[in-house]
Amino acid sequence: MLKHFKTATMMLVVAMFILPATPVLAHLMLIETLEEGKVQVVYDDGTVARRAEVVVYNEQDEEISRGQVDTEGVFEYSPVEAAVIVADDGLGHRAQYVVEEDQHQAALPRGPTIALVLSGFGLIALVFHRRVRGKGS
Amino acid sequence: MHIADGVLSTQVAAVTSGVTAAVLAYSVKGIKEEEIPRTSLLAGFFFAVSLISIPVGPSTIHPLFAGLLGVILGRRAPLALFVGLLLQAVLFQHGGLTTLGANTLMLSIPALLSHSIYHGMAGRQIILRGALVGGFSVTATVLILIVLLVSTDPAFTEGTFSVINILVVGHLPLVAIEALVTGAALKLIAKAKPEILGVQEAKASANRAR
Repeated sequence: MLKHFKTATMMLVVAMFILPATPVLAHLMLIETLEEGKVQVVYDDGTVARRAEVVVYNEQDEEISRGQVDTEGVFEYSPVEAAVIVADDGLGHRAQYVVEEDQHQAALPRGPTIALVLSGFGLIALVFHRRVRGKGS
Repeated sequence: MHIADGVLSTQVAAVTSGVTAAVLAYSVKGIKEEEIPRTSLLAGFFFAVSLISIPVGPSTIHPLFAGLLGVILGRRAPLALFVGLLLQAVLFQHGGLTTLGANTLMLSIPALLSHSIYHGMAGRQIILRGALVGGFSVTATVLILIVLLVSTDPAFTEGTFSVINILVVGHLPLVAIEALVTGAALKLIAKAKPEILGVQEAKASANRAR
């Protein structure tokens, strides 16, 4: 029984370290570039963030532009100098976007990741269920 | 709840992390092997269910079920909530590591209170008590969230469409949904596996069956 417990723990530990090693940029809220000087703020389920405030900073971390997105979640700014764009909808969601950095890194596939996590929890439950039953008999 | 990194002030983040550490220590202390399967399965349930987002108005809300977890797990609930939130923060960037304390706390307190409320009303109908804690836990979570946001920046209260108003209105449907689901789920559990809800509940169920 102890062996099972060790295997399960090992699997969980390995899973916990491998998964976050993949670069992830899938925030609950995302900033997407439409064209130079034009970004759209969206949530990861595809809906538009209509009340987000966007702040644009230059290389020196100084604020160069600030404003609300329009009803389509779009915000326009002067692309000269712009280095970092931060969006905040004031409800606890916040996204940051570094201009000219490749944003197209693969996010974790949602379905399989959730399935893996759930099987991890299921495995722990099963192992301990068996341990307890083994003691009882 | 998923407050992202950078939203809360450093003081608020530090205080909530400290309190959460204490709550977690209480939650883990004296845990028995037979409690682990239940805690693990509900941590998984919470992890998956709170990733479902429902668009309401300008933002999205998601189910929490802190009340349900609280009633079933009692003092082990904060542990399950913490593990679920930690995985969400690390895997999907829902929430963040600096706000993990705040996010855990605003679900743990309602969960622990739900447990006391539910078991303090023994004798009443299960579905009613379930619905009550389901609605209560969402309300309490939103209240704590508001307190945290306001203590970071009082500007959150300004205007008719202020963050606070949006949060309150946005979560009204969730209060109804969680009240219904928690009530129904606890009713079902009490019928099928009353021992999950503790000794008293099991006895009551056995008496009714007789």
